[in-house]
Amino acid sequence: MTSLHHAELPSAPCDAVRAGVPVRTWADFEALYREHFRFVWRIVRRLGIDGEQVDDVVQDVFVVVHRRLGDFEGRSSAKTWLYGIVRRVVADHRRTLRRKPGHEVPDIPAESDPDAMTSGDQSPQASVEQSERVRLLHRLLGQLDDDKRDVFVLSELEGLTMVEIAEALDVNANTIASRLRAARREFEAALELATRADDAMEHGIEERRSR
Amino acid sequence: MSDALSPKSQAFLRSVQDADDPTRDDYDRVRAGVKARLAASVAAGVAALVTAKTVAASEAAVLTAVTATTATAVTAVTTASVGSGAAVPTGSAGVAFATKLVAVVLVVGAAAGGTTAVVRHQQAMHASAAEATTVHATANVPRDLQAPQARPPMPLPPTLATALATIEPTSPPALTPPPAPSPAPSPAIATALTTETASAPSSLDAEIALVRDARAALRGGDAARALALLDEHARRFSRGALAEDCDAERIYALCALGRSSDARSLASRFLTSHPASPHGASVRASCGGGTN
Repeated sequence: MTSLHHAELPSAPCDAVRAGVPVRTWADFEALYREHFRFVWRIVRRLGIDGEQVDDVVQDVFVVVHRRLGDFEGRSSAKTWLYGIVRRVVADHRRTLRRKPGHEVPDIPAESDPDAMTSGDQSPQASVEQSERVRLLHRLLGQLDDDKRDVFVLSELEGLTMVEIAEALDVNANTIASRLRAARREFEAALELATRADDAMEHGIEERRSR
Repeated sequence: MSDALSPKSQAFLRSVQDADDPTRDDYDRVRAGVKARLAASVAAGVAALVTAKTVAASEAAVLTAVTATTATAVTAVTTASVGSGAAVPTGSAGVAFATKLVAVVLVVGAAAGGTTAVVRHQQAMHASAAEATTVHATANVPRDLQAPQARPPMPLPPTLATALATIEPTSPPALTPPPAPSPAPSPAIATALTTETASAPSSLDAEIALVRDARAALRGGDAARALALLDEHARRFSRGALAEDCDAERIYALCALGRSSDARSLASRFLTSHPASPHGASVRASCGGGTN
């Protein structure tokens, strides 16, 4: 695929294009999309992409997936393979945005998109609380460094095993285990801090009310 | 794993476990966007290859090439330039800009006729909003292919994305202008135009051409011909990339022929096997959709 740009193939552009876009694998692609769209979407958001950019990034991911379907053959887990692609696309996306003036890439996602939430049967109050929680989750994830966030998301939110995570990140399992421990500690501490601040604020409000 | 999370953290994580899940709309919108980009990338891939060889072609060369292209491509240009004429902002840069737009449309059109349908549809969509951004969106694809590492922004409005799939003769989809202006079209694409681009059919191109012709026939009132073209598609590409689109089209054709019970049974199979199809709403709204 990377060769398209440098292709010095005066006679056979058609074959080269086909090599990059293997049409015959469309059914495989559709199956992957159906099965793993949710996973990819969730991961993209949890790696700090928000708002309208989620669409762009998820699309990019699946365009890459389509291009690389051949690489997937023989891999044990689609999720670990997909995660590798998501990570790279997200990283590219951040770099591209950073280079552009007028675009800021907050390390901490400022807003979560409330549309994407499953708030069907919740009261308005509950749904506000829920979106607060989601915002907090994104903020806490944003505070972890990339390595720890990867491990934490995959383990605690996606339920992947150590072995799978090691495969997804191409890092040995011991390293993964120690990153996860560190990530948990940081996450716990940050959550504690955040909720304590919330509690304090609520107390303050209650006190003022009772006066 | 030692030091597991505290119960409090676990409860918190459980409460937000599914909060980042996509909606059905997200699923459909992104799917249609990916599909449109993959269809376009076949065309763009050809353009990119040619670009690598065409070192420095001027806009004059492009214009020369415009006159030298095939009849279908010229049709595409005519249609597109009507659209962009309305869409391009007037002013000193306007003319040159329009030239580029036409060239871009032509390249894409020449390389894959079906993409032309998308572009044409986009033009129509956005002419009213006096914006020519959609062609730029198409123009981004080749750069994407040329340099996959540097991701260009790719603002695909949902309606654009579904354009490939949902050009419906009777009920045009509700159109919204794209949220943000896109970057200027890549001149590389305009310069990519050589006669070679016209001679690179792929199976996806052929599929797109069939679907486009079927739609055109249906729109022109010739549902029988539309059906014949769809049959040909089914014969040649039983597991084709656009099979789902063809099935939807077939339902509309059956409706147009008054074969509503056939349409109904196909529609019910369609909705079962493609529950998340971008065509779902149109199929349900057709004569095959029953009460709706």
